[in-house]
Amino acid sequence: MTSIKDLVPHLEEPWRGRIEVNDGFEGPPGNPYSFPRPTGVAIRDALTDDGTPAGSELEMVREQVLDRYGIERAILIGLFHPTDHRIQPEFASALASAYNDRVKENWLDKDDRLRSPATPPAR
Amino acid sequence: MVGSDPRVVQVILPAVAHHVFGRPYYWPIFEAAQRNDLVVAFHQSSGTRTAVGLPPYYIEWPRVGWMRSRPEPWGGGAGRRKVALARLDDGSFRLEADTGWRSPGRTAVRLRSLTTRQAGVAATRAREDLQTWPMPEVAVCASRIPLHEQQEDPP
Repeated sequence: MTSIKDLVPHLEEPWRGRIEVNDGFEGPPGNPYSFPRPTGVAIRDALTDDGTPAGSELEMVREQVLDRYGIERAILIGLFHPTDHRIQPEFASALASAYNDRVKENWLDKDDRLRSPATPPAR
Repeated sequence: MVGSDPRVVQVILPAVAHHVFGRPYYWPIFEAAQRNDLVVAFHQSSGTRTAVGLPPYYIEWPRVGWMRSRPEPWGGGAGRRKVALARLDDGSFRLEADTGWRSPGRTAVRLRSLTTRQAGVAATRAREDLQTWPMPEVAVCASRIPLHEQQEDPP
């Protein structure tokens, strides 16, 4: 996921408008990754040319990990934690549902080697 | 509704949520995991922090998260159910075995982990795997969190 706005197609109103329209909601809270290293939050090879978050491009994951090392199964661990959002529980649930749908559509449906967690809001 | 999709293999939760995960509020998540035969995994997030803020050392980061999130012990008996818990650390994956919890209306959760029973192995792994130098990015990470979100919730 490159932006919280990526969830717009998977959201219904009234939550869709919170994301689609710039009303001050800035998306997920800050930590880009929960285990930062002295060299940064992602290995250098994982950085993308267009500045999108590391790990957000399926083709790059295929090239650098899945194909290169003959991986048969890989479990995706996302950086989107709806529990961390201090928003209405219903909004967090809608975001979590949209995120799960997006992972299914953009990752699981495009590569049979991939598996995923279900991400619920636990708040 | 992705839990029944065979490509969905676990439920992932943050290491620290609003309450400890033994509370009945969270039982529907464990029930759904059991219903769909899914492992419940915990991962650190930006909400993982100590009573005095973000953990200042690498070694504290996963420990703090796990100690704050682990469900309450329970003695076992009739009505016990099984659910598999996993803790996702940086570069390692550990499945917590022999875990059960009771259905709603009973006391919470029992957990006896492989790492607890095999304390010697765990200690060796800790020495080999875990890093103990300070985390220079903690200040950077904290600064990314809006000030109003850095404040603790009222009791």
